[in-house]
Amino acid sequence: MPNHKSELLLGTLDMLALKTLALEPMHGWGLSLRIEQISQGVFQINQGSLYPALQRLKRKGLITSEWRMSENNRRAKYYEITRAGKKQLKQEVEEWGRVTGAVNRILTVSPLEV
Amino acid sequence: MTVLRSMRERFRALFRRKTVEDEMEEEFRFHLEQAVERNIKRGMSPEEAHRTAHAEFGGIERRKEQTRDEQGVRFLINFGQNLRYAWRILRKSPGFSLLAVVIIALGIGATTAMFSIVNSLLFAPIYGDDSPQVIRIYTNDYDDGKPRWNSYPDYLSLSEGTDLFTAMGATSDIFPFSLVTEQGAETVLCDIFSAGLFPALEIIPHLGRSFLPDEDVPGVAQSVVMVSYTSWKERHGGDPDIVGKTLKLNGYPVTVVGVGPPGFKGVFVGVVTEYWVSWGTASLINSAYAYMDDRGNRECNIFGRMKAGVSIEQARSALGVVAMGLAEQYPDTNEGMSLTVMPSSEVRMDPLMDKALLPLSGFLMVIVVLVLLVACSNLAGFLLMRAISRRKEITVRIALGVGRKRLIAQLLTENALLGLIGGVLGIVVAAGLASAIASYRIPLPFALGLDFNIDGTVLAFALILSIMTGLLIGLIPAIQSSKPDLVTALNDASGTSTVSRQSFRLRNTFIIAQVTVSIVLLIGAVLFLRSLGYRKNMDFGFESEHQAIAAVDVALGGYSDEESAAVFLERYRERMLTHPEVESVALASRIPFGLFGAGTQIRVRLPEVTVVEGKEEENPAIQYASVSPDFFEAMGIRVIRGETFPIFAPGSSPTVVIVNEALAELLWGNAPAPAVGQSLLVGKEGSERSVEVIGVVTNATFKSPREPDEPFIYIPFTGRYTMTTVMIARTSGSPVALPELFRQELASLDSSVPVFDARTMEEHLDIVTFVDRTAAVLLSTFGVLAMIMASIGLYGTIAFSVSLRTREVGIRMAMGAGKSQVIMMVLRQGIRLILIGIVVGCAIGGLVSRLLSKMLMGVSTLDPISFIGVAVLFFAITIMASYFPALRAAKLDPMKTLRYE
Repeated sequence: MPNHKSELLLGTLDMLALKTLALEPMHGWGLSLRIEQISQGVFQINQGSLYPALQRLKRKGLITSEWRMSENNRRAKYYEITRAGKKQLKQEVEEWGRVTGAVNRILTVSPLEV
Repeated sequence: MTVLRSMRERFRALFRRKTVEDEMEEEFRFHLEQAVERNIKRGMSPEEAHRTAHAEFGGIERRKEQTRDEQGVRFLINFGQNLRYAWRILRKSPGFSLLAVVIIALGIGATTAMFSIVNSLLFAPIYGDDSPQVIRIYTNDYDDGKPRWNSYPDYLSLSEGTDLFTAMGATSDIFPFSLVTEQGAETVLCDIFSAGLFPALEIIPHLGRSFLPDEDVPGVAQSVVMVSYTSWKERHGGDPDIVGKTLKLNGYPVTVVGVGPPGFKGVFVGVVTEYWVSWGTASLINSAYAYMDDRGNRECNIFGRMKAGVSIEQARSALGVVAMGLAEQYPDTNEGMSLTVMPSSEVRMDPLMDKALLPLSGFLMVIVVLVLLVACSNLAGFLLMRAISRRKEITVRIALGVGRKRLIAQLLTENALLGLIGGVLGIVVAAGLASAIASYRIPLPFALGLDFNIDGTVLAFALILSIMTGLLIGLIPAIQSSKPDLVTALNDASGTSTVSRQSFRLRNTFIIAQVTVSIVLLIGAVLFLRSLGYRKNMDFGFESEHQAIAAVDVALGGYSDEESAAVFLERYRERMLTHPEVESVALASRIPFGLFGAGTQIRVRLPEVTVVEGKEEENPAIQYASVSPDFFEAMGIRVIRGETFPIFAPGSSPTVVIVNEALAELLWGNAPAPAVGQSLLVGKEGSERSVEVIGVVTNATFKSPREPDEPFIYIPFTGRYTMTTVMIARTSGSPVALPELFRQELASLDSSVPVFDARTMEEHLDIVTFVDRTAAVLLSTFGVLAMIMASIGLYGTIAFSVSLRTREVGIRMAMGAGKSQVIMMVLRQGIRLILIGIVVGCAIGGLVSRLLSKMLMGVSTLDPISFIGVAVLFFAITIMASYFPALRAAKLDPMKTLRYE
């Protein structure tokens, strides 16, 4: 079932988008560039899947959107993180740290420690 | 804040659909353009840049769908779409849609109409008793210990005996009173209310006032009446000055003191009363209530309102103490008195009648729900077939990527829409049916104002019912058709040959169920019709073809002593006899199956018998009537020994009686001859009179068709006060004109005496067949309805299966099968189906008829004519329903059918 796999991915995507937007308000295109750039090509995000994620964050009230003029003077939809979004991001980052920490510990266990 | 924003987002997504879609479009376009620009900068050709951008983005439409999914209004948008689509589909096949809507409307209409009756009997709130402080009081002071009404003196003692109540009030039986208006005398339903009832139920008059405590006491104040709000509007044109005006009730002038509040229709469930008189007034205008100071005369339905903070347990124990006191004080009437105190909201009519209400309501509802089920399964069957023929469309949609859930939702919406449209029409049907039922003439001397309303509860019921109907008829076909085998269905030229066996089995089950229900209903109908025929032709021991009756209460015209009553009645009798076609006119205190004087009985014993306690059968209570000398001639009852009564002076106390054969046999054994000349003691022990038997007459049935040979004793009619006198006239020809003659003659003699009831004897006897007629009408209406639906369903299935078997038929015919063989093949299919239905239907019919046995007469519960008749009828219908499709199959040209596919 592809759904299960994407759930994990989607969750991660949400967090990445929130984190990126926490730096500065940005449009969808810029966001996809930025994530690509930061992750240094590790994540192969399908750019289109960003938009459902943004819509979901918006519905949850974690981000807002606004039409503005882009750097090259085109009308673009800019997303901005809300206070609720920042709170959520903080929680998710902590959670992420806990999970990855746990996973790391398991992966680095040596036979002697068992 | 977050919640608000989220709400706003969804709201926008739902109601600013176009803007939201446009913005999404623009956003995606911006993204793609940026991507193309970047790709070109990286040195790609424009085409390559374009292709790479799109590839990186993924399918635009898919992204849009995903984004829409995240807007959180998916369900609603789909619903709207489904609804529009459903409407288009329904309009595409108007014939089927119309048929479906009509079937649903009939089913829901019938069920809702029936429910409106059940609702008013069982659930509709009774005015004023919604407070937990309102209670009702019944006495258990009867041999069987069951709760019944109290006597008026007991009511007074109870209301004075405790201080736990803010008010206590009493009402009585509903009584038809004659109301004299400018248009003439009309019979209206009245009730008797004590002054305390108004505060007890918090009934606040719309105009004027309610009764004063003084007005409960006979002879103290003037005669007073209150008018119901509806009657005030309808009968009195909403006259604002009605208070203080005088009405004539039962010929008696009564003053209007008030108008009831809107919505208050009396305290008797299901029946509307129009005028309410005080207890004091009642005893004046209806002599039945002259005896209200008798503690043994239990005529009061008591309502009480407990003071705030008083619990029902406190009230119960306080009233119990009063009752014990009464039992001690009045052992003659109240020995062992105890009370049942119940919250008023837990009582409908009264505790005893309530026990009969539930099964009655259940019976009514079961019939209509069965019919509704037939309608539903019928439609479900049609939808199943339609789903099969729509298989191709559905397969295409699935192939295009419509999810299964979405598809089922789509199909269900279609059926829910059918259900709703049918339901709305059904409410119209129900309103019509309910008013038809309410106006159904019950053979009583007055119109019962039945209170069947389509209120909020009924509307909610109809709505839920129609949605459930829609889902019920649609669910199975929807699920079935949403899982086709894509490849086979698409490859199949006609799109039908892959019809799963399952849906056919289902369809057949539906048909069998319909046939079963129709058969059960029709067997019931035929049983009641047979019972009706039996009762109609029963010999009750008197004649009815040439007789007419009229019931009068001369006391209402002021002839209240024996002598003046007898003189007036004799004058009336003579006036009637002046008409040449009238052969004889008799007077009686009661007539067979009559409402007035019904069930009156008197103790009778032989002089040599001394009654010992525990051997009361030696001193039996015998049904009696007081009759004038020509009663037997007028009624066609034969005097077989001795003679009829001579004429007695008004007011005298004759000491002769006439007995019927059954009584003579009971007292003196088989030979009636020695009865004449014997003496008897009649009356209560201690106050009995010695009388002489001067005649023996043939048996006549007075009480119940089930007790044809009941012992009966006749005493001379001397004008001795009996509430109502029944006049019986016998004519040489048709009695149709006699009822009017009775009215005219009485009006010209003294217009202040009302005629309660005037009708021909045959009309009067309708009451004997009332239950049979009602049940037969009900069951045959619904039974025929179910039968028609079942045969349409059967026809549909067979026709459809023949159309699916076209190719097979073609091959068979090409191989040499004859027309008759093809016809037989199709007929066999129908017959196999119906036989199961007939067997199951008859089996269930047999069980049901045993439940009805108490209502039926003269027909066995396993009456072969009813069962075989209905079975044969259904067999014939099956043949007919299968014959036409069979004929069509037989007429097929084998060459064409084979080439067709």
